[in-house]
Amino acid sequence: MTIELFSHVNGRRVVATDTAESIGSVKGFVLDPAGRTIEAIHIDGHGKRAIVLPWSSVSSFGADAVMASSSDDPATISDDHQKSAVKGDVTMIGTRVLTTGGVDIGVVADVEFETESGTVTRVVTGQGPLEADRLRSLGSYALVVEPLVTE
Amino acid sequence: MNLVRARDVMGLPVVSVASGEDVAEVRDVVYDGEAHRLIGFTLNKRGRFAGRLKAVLAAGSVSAIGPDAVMVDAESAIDDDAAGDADLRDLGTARPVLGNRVLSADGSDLGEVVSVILSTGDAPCAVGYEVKTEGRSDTSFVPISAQMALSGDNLVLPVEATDFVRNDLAGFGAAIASYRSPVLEGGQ
Repeated sequence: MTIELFSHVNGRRVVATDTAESIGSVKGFVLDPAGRTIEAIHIDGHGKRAIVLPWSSVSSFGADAVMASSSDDPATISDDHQKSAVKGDVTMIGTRVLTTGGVDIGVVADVEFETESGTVTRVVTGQGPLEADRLRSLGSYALVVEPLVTE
Repeated sequence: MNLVRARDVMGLPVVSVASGEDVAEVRDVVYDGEAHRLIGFTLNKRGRFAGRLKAVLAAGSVSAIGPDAVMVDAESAIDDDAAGDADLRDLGTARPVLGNRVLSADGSDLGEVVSVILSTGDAPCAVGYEVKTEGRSDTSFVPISAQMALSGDNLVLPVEATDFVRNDLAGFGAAIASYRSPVLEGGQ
């Protein structure tokens, strides 16, 4: 199992396995509403013309390149959820972390994930790491998490 | 128990645990002095040019009050037909409490009610009043009791509550925790 950080993989090139062409680079991630799994990688373009690679089309998330199954897999964004992610409205890094008790515990500094599954394992904050099973939702205002101890 | 002044809740964002979105902002705290009960909150829209929201938030729909946000399970908590909203819209029997004089059972005037104190965390409720005494710069905190009598302008603090009066909010939180049980029946 390989664990990577969002900050380390930023800018890593994305190559299509079938054509060996570079089709983009890692610019960001589209996460599920709970912030626990990667749904797609933002690999090129901005705004409405942003190009994303669905996680299901990643054949290997390697140390030097992300391998896509086919050069046909990348697609322009298709819904508001993806749009808010590529625009940076709903993103992990820099987002405020709020407990379900209404306590602000800092901002997200980095995110650890498993390269095989795209599962988020831990979120790094100024006050230390948070295990992914505490994550409740990722929105434009906050990453909502379960408090560690009773507040 | 962590406590907060009702006025410090004003302006806090209302955040959905389900979506991580800020769905509203607290405009005002609605409180019934007669029943010593937190009814809920009126709301503003979020954003710089935001105005009042028609939707309201009943106390029962709040999942937690914290120092940085009021949390709700989902945006549906502020729907127009959410449970408890009728109480918030019809305040016919609710009685204001700010400005009331607080008298001890032995007849000393403790001062004027300047704020309602709420418990934070889940199931928030009103637990006390902040009282300002003339000629003193600090304030004191008196617990809400089911036995507390209220007229148009006076609140009478029962004898058994006198031991739990404190001069600081943190100390009052600890005092309230041990005074709690009769308060909750009357305060919820």
